[in-house]
Amino acid sequence: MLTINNLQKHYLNGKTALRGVNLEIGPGEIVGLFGENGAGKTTLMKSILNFLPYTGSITLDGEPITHRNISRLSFATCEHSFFPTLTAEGHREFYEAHFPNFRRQRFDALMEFFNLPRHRCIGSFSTGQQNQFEVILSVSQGAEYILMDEPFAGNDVFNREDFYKVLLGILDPNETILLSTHLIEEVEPIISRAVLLHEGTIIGDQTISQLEQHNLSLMQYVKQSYHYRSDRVGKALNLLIEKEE
Amino acid sequence: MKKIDIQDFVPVGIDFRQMEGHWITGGLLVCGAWSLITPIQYFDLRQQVLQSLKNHGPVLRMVPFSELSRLGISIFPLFFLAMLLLGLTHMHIHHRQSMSVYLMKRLPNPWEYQIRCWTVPLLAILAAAIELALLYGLYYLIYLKCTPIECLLFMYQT
Repeated sequence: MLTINNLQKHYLNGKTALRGVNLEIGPGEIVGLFGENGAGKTTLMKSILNFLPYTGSITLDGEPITHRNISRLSFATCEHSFFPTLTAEGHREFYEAHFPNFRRQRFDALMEFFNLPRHRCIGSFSTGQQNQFEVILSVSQGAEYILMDEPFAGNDVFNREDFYKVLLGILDPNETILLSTHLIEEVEPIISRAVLLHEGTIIGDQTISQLEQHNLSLMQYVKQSYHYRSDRVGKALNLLIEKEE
Repeated sequence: MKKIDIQDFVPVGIDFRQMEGHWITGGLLVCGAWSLITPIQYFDLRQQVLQSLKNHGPVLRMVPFSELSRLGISIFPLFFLAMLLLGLTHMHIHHRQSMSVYLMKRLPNPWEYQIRCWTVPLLAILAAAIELALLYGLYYLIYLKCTPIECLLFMYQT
């Protein structure tokens, strides 16, 4: 169980990125993390991974996250965390050397599925290929908790759809995904829970089955939670036209 | 026992033997070659000192070794600085083109990132320091042995 208690993150420039976030993510959940730009999604993930100092507590099965248990977490980010001058084969060797639970078969299968070259430097891949490789590494590491921060930025829709299907097919029941994305309608079929972040605070946390019981789609739930006013664009345009007249 | 490979001590993707190894070796050789200014200057001054002894005139004192070695030693701090910059460059590599620093900071060995960034620069600094100590130890011995005792300035300080 990944447990986050009263997580707060204040930057030196005075900006508060996270304000007392409380969250529990259990084994086997596929959690969609949604929020506007600047809501704190990336800060939340980086805090979990100890990339940023924070106040509050983050534990994994009751233990703080340290080098002793960090390999139970993996990370795929749109910023990419691979070595650009290393080949895919080189990455496999590196991961096998450093992560004892590295899943070689899964890595090989995904490389073949996405038809990625093994002996070219990752830096020479296209953006879409780099995204695919980043995600392949994160799901092959052998981690129980896989954090993905907008991993599909730049991939075409067919690529993304293929990957969602593959992801659902390969995951073990105890593997957990925390997926941050703006592609709400696309990921709705694959996630089991939606957590909504707004200005550093969780404003919504529902399972998909709870939404279904209330006859709400994920998009409707998100719009409701953010008090989205669908008439605001029309009103703004009318105001502009009036001013011009 | 696992064979020690220098590649385990540099940022992943850097070929030490093809790139940095040559530059560091070259740098150490240049430092050593530059330091030869000290014995060259010494032997030039020694000629003048010996001549003064032969002339039975005022005896020239040999320039103190600390002053003599100043120019030759001056290149070593530059080498040390270059190695510190190399360490910083190693860190910067993990933020360039992609954020591989995120992977390095997730490794079970918490020291892996620092080891790969700083081992080679610190070892190069150590090698240069040993080179400095050995060369200038040798030059100092030559200075003491080859300078007529009456010309050693410190012997006559009151």
